[in-house]
Amino acid sequence: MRNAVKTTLSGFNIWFLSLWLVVPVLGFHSLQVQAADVSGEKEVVVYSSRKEHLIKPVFDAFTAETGIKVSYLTGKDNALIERVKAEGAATPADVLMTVDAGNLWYAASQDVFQPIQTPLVKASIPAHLRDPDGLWTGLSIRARTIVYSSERVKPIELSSYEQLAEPQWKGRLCLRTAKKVYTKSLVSALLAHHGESQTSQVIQGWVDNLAAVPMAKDSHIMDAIIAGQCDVGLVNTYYFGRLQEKNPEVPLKLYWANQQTTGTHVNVSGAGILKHAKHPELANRLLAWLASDSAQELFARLNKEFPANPAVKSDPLVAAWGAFEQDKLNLQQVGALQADAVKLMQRNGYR
Amino acid sequence: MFKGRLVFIFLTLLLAAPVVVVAFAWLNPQWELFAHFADTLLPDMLMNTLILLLGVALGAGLLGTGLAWLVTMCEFPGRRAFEILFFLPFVLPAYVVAFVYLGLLDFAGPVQGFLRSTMPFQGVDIRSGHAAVVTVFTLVFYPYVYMLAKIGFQAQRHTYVEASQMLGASHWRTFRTVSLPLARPSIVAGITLALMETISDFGVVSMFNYDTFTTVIYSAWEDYRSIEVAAQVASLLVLFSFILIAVERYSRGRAKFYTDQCMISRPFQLQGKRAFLAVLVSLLVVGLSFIAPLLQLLIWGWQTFTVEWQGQYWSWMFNTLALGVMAALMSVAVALMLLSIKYRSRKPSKSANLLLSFASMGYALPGSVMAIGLLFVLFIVETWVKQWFGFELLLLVSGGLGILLYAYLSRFIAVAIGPVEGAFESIHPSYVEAAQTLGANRFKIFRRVYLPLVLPGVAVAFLLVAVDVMKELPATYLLRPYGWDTLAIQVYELAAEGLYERAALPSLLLIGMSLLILLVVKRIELKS
Repeated sequence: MRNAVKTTLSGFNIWFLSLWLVVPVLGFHSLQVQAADVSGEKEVVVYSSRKEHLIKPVFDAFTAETGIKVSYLTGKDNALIERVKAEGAATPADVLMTVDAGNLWYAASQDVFQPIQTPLVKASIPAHLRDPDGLWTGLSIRARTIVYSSERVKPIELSSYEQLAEPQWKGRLCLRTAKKVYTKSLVSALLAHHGESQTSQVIQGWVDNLAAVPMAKDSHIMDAIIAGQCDVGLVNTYYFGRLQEKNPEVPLKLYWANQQTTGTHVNVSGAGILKHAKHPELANRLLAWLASDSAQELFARLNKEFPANPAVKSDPLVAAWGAFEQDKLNLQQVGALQADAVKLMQRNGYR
Repeated sequence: MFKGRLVFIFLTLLLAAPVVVVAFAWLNPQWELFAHFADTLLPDMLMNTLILLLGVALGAGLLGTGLAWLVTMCEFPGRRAFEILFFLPFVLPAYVVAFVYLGLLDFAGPVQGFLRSTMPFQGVDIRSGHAAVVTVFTLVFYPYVYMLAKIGFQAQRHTYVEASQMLGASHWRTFRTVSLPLARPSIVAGITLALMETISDFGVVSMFNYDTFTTVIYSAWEDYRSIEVAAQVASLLVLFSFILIAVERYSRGRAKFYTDQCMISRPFQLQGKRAFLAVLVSLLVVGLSFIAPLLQLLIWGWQTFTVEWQGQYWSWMFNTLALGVMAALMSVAVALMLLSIKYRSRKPSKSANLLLSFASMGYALPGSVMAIGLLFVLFIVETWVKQWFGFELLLLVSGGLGILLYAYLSRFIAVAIGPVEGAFESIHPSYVEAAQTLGANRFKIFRRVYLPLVLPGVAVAFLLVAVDVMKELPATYLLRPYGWDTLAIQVYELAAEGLYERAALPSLLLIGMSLLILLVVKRIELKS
């Protein structure tokens, strides 16, 4: 009897084993398609943590102008860098595009980039937005500054990031979570300017002034100010731009922080060419094109950012916020200090 | 030991490999960073994780068991519809429910806005405290308990309940002393799945800025760029889940109930006030857990359709479905292989149980950690191959979809093993003996005895894995080959930018695909 059970089940096994083997074959088929795709001649492959809907129109324009196809794979910053490292010499990617100087700095420190060759990048992008060794370049600028309720706050009450730690803002401040790279970079910049003990005091002051648990998104901060949960907050300007585009009457205003002192904190989205790129010449052409006037205009406009190339005009909506003095701290420094900045925030209970 | 143990051991080790390598990070401990975490995040994190797990175990356990009992034991108006509706929140991705609820209920949302404008209400930050997070997880994950508890209740003999009633026991006493103990293994299995989903979650807790185990893992990785420490913390998570599974397997005990007759009619006919109450509670649960989020998504989707819709959605839909179906087929096949080996002998061995717990650990690991573990396994294999055979394997590039499917398999096999094992448990050896006595051959026994008896469990396993894989984000995002973007990725990319209204369209399509699978599986189930 036991035999019968056994034999039935082994029949069962073979049945399903064969089924199981079919599946990877399907996977292999897709691989062939992919290989054919990648080995195509005029094509450059980009790994990007800048989101699909922001890069696709730009790449489409590049293809229309040059006839070079761009394939891209999106992902999270850290994960993409890990992937590039794991793929090693076999990586199909030519360019790594990411947001925030911290990520660009980290990618460079992991030795995944080769120097950018094209002189056009150097000619168009200011030095503080590039890696000193030419391993990556910024392509668009985002400023992180103060947003306030135009109903409950007068601009005269505001001055700097540091001043938001004063007791007058108790229960009136909304901030984004310390887990977000934009917060980390801003605090790194403070750390570079003021050193540890003063920065620590500022963070403590912010935490004491919070009206709500730090928020997951910049858009939540602006919603909270509109609803009256808080009066001031810190946001990347393009989030404000998107909101303003949707609703021009929104009762919020931007304030350029630290104009009397260090200048408003800026960060970049940027890109570098991978060490094991299969098409380095095409990759250089892509970066040169992205730094050029027409591309800069499009690249920045799509996300309401500022062009990294100072000769290019901003979108009218963005230009209406007025000119401001940027913090000229080299972004490579900001990236390198991020871990220290997080330690300080965690010690002061900034979540 | 037992027959076929080599295959069994090989398979379980293969499944556990990406999880086990995570523990190897301890070879290079970084105490300094640990000391920093101990000073800062750890106390809050441990407290939060504990409260969250207790809350979800209680919430999802009570809700899931209660609803399952209601639909299997009681007859009331709309019972048939509710039976399916109670399961539906499962197709909603947890992170989508989180942003919908946050949008509706937080300070700046319409509900609090209305309250503030009509009454003296100050407004509250629902993200502070534990209640909101526990509620979201409960609403999203109770279907696990519901589904498994339902199977548990259904498998009980009708006569047990009747006997209890004839002996004069009240409804409550019957439930407490007869139905509940008999269904206990299923309920515990359901709660275990819900807890593992909860503890591995990153999307919901980051939306609420609620610090749990995963927060520390991500901080180590994202903030300090230390994969080692991330892996070390993650391995504590794995240990925890191993204990959880082992306890669950142990709690099943030696008790074994064979069914030869299941619940056909429902013993309690609810009438009047009781029927009304049952309908009311059911409506409330379905409304909160499924209809409300769906409605909000439909409104957003309608408003943004023209902005968001593009031809690429067709390929994203295809990829999502294809990955879900392929991974589910594989998982079910592997689960069947493992369990058919385990149940070859009439008394399954303890070591088989241990190995199965081992293979199931991946479910509690955040998807991204599992993916990194997998990269590490690939690295080890490649190094060996290079050393012994002298050529570069480059698995991540050449492996294509295989790598991603392996990750899914390793992560979701626990979900497949549960229901399939339940099905195997219910096969009474006497069936096979009877068939044999009647002169049935091997093929016939398989087709007429095993297949019909195992099929319901297999269908449930297929459904659970397929839906879970379609909702999965981190491993897909990291390991997918070029051209295999999915709907979940599109949801994430839009939501990450705060564009929740636009994220509604891919969310709705994702829910639609899951419902499609649900429908097909239900049909197959009915046919058998």
